[in-house]
Amino acid sequence: MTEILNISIYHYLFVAIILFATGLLGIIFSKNMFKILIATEIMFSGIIINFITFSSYGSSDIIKGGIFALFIIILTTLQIGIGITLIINIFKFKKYADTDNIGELKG
Amino acid sequence: METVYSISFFVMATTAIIFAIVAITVKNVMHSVLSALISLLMTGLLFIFLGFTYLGAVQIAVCTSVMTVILIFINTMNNQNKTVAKRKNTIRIISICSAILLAIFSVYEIYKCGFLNEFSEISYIPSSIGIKEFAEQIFINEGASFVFASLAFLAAILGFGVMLAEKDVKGDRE
Repeated sequence: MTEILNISIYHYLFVAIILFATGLLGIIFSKNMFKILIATEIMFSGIIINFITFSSYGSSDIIKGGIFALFIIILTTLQIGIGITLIINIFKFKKYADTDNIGELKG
Repeated sequence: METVYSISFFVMATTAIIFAIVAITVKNVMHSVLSALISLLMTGLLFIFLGFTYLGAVQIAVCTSVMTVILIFINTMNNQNKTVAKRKNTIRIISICSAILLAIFSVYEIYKCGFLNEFSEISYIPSSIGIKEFAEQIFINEGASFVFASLAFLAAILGFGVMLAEKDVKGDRE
C-alpha cells in the first residue's frame, strides 16, 4: 500500500497518456466541431503534463520544460481562437456545426 | 503529509481522466464543455503539484476563459431563449470560482516567496518555481520565441475580432 502511495514519474506519465489518448479518440470519432476543439484541448493538456513531469523529475535544468509548456498553452489558445472563428463562419453558411456537412473538397 | 499528497494526486488525476472521457462521450455539447472545463482545472492543479504554480494558475485562467467563450458561442448558435437565464448563471458561477481560485494561488505564491522556502527540501513535494525564475528564462533566454508567440497570439485575436465585427454589406445597403 505504501508503495502505491509513493507518487513517481510513472503516475504522472500514465495520466498524460490517458488524457492524450482520450483527446485523440475524441478528434477521430467526434462529428461536432466544438467537440473536436475540446478534444484538442484535452490532448494538449496531456502533452503539457508530459513536459512538466520530465522537467520536474528529471534533469537539473528544471525550468526548460515549464517554458515549453507555457508556449504550448499560448499556441493552444491561439489555435482555439482561430478554430472558433472558422466554426462561426462555417455556421453562417451551412447552419450546422458538424463535419459531415462540409464535403466540398471531397474528390 | 506524504499520504495527503498522494491521496490528493489520485483524486485529482482520477477526476481529470473521468471528466475528459465524459467530455468526449456525452452528446450534449454544453455538458461536454463543462466536463472538459473540470478536467482542465484538475490538470492545472496537477501542474501545481509538480511545482509549477505559475503554470497551473495560467492553465486555470486560460482554460476557464476559453471554455467560457466556447459556451457563449454555443449558446448564441443554439438560440434557445428559454434557457438563457440558467446558462448565464452557470457561466457567472464558473467565472467567479475561477477568479477566486486565481486569487488564492496568487496570494499563495506571494506568501511562499517569504518564509516557506525552508520547506523546499522535502523530497516528495518538488521545489516550486516562482514567477522570477520564469521571467528570467522568458525575457532573457527565450525572448525571441516569446515575442513571436505573443505577436501571433495578438494577430489571431485581432483577426478574430475583425471577423466577428464584419457586417453583411448587402444588408446594410438595402
